[in-house]
Amino acid sequence: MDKSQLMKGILEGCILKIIDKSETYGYEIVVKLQENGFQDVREGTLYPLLLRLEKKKLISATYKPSPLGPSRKYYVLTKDGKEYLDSFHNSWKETCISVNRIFNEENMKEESI
Amino acid sequence: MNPFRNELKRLEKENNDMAADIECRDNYVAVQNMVRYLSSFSLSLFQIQVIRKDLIGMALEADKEGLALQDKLGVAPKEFCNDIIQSGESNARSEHLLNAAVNTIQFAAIWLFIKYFIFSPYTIAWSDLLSVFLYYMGCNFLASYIRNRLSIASNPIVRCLPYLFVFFMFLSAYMLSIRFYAPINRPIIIADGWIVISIAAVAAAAATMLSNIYWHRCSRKYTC
Repeated sequence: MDKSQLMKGILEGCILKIIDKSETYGYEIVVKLQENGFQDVREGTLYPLLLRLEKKKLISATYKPSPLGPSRKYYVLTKDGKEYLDSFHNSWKETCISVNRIFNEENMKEESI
Repeated sequence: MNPFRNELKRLEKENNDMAADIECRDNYVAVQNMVRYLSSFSLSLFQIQVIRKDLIGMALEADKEGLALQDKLGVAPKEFCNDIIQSGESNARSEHLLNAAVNTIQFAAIWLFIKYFIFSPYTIAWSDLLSVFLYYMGCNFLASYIRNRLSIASNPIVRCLPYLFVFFMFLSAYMLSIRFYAPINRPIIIADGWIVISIAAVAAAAATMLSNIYWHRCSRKYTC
């Protein structure tokens, strides 16, 4: 199954949630996503998503000097971003319930047979 | 805000300086190729420089970690660029037009100034319009092409070469045309040179400032 399209929408929500917790930068977001099970995510997957979120004005970025090398781009959530995150979370919960209901129904039928 | 400062050029210069610090030749070439690929689409010129800045940052981090840029990105460069193209802003056409208009107005002012001191009494002839038009074409297609190729050169004199080349090429064309094709020198306007030069200078300054204001807005939008 090609997970990429399904993942993009979900990842956007997760990225917004990570940024909502505290101001952060690309590599840190990748690490947090990987720690939470999104093993396939790399900086090359994340960057276009961050660009898209910036274009939608859901996040804003500022360059800050880094002690380890070139300046880093730090992201924060905008007001629109917070609203989007809330609506994403609600939609996700509703979708989860619907998907689980369908799959559980299937399981129950299989068990009864 | 400084209306005399061009933020796009400032960012380009900053990127050129940063790119010079990339130690791994392969990473340097990878950034360069990706930026060239992105430039062939209609992404905003300022956004391309912002993406370039980010890519150079990633290449420098990859250098420190001893990785190839592609390994750090984790995806093929073309796939990465195509995702960016889908996510980016498409303003290139209007920005190219803006740059071309500003360059042409600036050139017209310089041209009229030089011409006034070489060929007095003052007239504006068809040959002037032709040279400005030719410069416009040259500036857009020839100079920008050569400039892109030389954009990675650290020597500022080398980076100025395309402009000098185009300028001397059209100066030669102008000299040849007035020598061998007389009708082209027929005057369109005969006026006081200083008035014309002043108007041209004010127009050039206004065009420069308006374009700088636009690039400043872009700089604020992308916060760099």
